[in-house]
Amino acid sequence: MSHANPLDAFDSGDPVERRVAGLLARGTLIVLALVVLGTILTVLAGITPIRQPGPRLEVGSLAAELAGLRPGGILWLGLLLTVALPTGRVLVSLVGFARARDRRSALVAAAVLGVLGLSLTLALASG
Amino acid sequence: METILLLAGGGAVAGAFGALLGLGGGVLMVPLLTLGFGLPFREAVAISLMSVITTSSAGAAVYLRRGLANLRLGMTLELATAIGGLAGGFAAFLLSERLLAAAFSLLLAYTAFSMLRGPGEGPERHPESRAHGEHDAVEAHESTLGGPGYSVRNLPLGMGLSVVAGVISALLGIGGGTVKVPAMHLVMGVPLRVAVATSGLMIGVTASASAIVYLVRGTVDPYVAGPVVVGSFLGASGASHLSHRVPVDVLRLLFVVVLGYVAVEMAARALGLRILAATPA
Repeated sequence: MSHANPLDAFDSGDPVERRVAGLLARGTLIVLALVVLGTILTVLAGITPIRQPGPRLEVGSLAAELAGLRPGGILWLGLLLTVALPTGRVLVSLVGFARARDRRSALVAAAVLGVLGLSLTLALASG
Repeated sequence: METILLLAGGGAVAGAFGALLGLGGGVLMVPLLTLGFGLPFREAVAISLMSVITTSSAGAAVYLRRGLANLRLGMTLELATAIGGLAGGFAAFLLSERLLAAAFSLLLAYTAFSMLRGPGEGPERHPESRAHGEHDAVEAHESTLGGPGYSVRNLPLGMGLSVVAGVISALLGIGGGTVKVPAMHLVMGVPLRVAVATSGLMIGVTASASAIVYLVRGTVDPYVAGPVVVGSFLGASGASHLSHRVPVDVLRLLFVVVLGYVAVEMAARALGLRILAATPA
């Protein structure tokens, strides 16, 4: 297994995998930039995590929080992007598979999105 | 500042561990946050989920580029896990959690033993050999799921086990990686590194579905989650870049240790005991 393992020197040539990898790489870098900035502002504001609880997510006031460079708002934006990335990855895969006319994989990706949407709706509805 | 560094350090260890083994890292993060920082269990789970998603995205970006994570296989099993998770949510009131924990503990112990022996010599069917064989939908799909140097076999059984992984995740609150990695490696004939990378890719989606619920319910503290996410990114990125230098036998042994730990944790839960703060994701 250790000699001439085809996985050792393999680089994905699959365009869909490359596109998804690109999305995840760029997305995590944007998340990192936001969360690092938010954490630095948290330190500068003299806030000690855990001892001082953070603000709840208020989507309506997020823009104002961001404009005011408040640490809570910037951290929330980073965290929202974090949570959105995996679903974005499934969406990009769906589009990529559809463009590549890989119908079976596109159907699987669409079904994953459907089941995720359904479980989320049920979870939120159950309170 | 000290708290922030400790949180980031914990995130880095959990991220490295998760990216290396295709697990969520909650097995480390939740006890750290509950026992180390005194966070309530639900808050710790919520923060841990943010760490899991970051680990998955950062690790998958590297693993996909290097052709280690198998996107099509991951999506197919992801569908089965999501359906299992949904079914698990409904079955939660029908099944005894303690009975399920006992059964899962036995399954993990058996899996740990099987992992030590390595994958079996099942009938590996290559696409070429199918030309003269039956061509049903499952086989046709199997033939599109292989990768460099390997082909996927036993897809229906692998999907069945992924449904089980989803049910177990929903009912017992633990990540499906402990089921999915052995299922891919031992049952479907996928190399261990690919199984780990593909599992890592998959966990992000399942964790994000749960994380949204925690976000909406206000259980995530951004001041705590921020440093943990930064640490998880650094740990997962580093580990996924270095993972090819870790010998497969070491990976296998590490995985067996984790399986053994979770098996003990589940046995304790079945007996009504608690070893550490129980381990999601």
